[in-house]
Amino acid sequence: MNAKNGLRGLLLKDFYCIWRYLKIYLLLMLVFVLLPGSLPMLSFLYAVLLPATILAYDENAKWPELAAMLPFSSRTLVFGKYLLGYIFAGVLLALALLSRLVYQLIWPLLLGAPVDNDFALTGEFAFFILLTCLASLVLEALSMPFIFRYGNAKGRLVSFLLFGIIFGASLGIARQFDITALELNISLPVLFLAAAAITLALNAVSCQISVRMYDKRLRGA
Amino acid sequence: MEVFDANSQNAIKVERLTKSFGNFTLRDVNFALPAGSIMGLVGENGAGKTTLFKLIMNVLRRDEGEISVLGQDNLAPGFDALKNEVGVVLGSAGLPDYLTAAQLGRVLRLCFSAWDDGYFNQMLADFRLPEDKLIKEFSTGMKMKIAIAAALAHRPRLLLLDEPTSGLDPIVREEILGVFNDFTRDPEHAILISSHILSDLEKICDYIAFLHEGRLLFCEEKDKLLEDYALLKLPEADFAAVPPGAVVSLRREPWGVEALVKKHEINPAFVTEHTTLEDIIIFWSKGGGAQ
Repeated sequence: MNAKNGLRGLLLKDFYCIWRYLKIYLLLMLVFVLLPGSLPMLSFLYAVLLPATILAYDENAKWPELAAMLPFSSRTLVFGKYLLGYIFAGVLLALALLSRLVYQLIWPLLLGAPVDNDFALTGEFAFFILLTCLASLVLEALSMPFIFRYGNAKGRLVSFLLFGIIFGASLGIARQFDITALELNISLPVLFLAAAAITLALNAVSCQISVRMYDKRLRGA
Repeated sequence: MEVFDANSQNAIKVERLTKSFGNFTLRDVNFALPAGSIMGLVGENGAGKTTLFKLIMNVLRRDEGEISVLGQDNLAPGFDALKNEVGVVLGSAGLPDYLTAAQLGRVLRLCFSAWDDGYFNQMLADFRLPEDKLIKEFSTGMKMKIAIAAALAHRPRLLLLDEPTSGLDPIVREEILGVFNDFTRDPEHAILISSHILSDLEKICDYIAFLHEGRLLFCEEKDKLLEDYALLKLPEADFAAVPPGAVVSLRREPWGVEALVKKHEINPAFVTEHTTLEDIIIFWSKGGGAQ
């Protein structure tokens, strides 16, 4: 049995959990991702919360205690939750882009006019939604170690506190310095690639920390 | 302490095991569980039984000592894969209770290399467990049965059972004990089982290990224990003739003294009573020395 099969088992369990308890979650994500303007962003926020929500159901069933005795490592158990977040972020990204493409195609057929800009698949929207997707993965990377260290309830509280501090600090910095006046000579693709690289690095580090946190909490290591 | 023949094949071997956390210390534990046998782990709440299970499965890191499971050190890199050959049942269940029995089978099929769907389904039928009902809606007995089915369906060689019969009625317990007995008919199989229900352990175990406040007071063959110890009830004055070294512990009653004694170390003229495992454990917990 390799880690890949273990991951498949863990993911299947999580999908059963989502289907059992979180259908309304799925529905909300679907509705938000189809909305105009920047509203699809909300669906990504739900995707960030999803792994921790499932972890809460697992903890309630004392699954982590048994899972630690099954033939997969802490790394597999932890990465399974990250992977779930990645899968949902990826599906939402695809849905967001696909829905805009569909609007673009059927709008003129149904209404006899060009698609409204809020529903159009523009380069601006594509860039926005890609960055939103990356931002959701950054939020996941920041919150997961706390979730694995303190459990769902306390972990969420700590990560919300952290988000608040980061958001507040960013707002403060933005008010102190007029960042719009900064002239950055960076093209959008380069900016996106840099953001993707940072997200990837953050997630790699976060996953390592989460494995340690998980071991510390469950194994006293 | 070398408990068993060093040449025999042991399913579990624990040597000089020590683990401390908080105010609790599991101290210098030594025992071996030979293949083909069942060992009962006895002890009060907080004696260290669950800690010992976690240490054996390397869920907790030991401070000192050695643990080998099915011939492999449990700190070795391949130990996660070896867990395919160990079935675990925790008294508090631990199975994701939002799954149905059928869904659990599909999940675990992906987790264990030797998962046997046919065997799992057969056990569901034998235990009369519905496939499409949520585990959380099962009774306590049904939850334990599904946990046992899940622990057996990947054809393990070793079963670790932490309080698998607690909270179950005698009929279900009898049924479950039968399953455990069947499992050890294969000489390569072994079971380490903890329980507070000593009559259950007396029925099925070959060996009894008694943990008390983090120390292993004894680990012996059950039949030898029952053969070696006896209850002696005497008036206070007559009790003076009993060699102190033969007395494990005693309690004074208005009519005299009741003591657990080593049968072969007292004068055969004394009339002793047959003792149960429960008597032995209770007397040992009050006065026995460690290992």
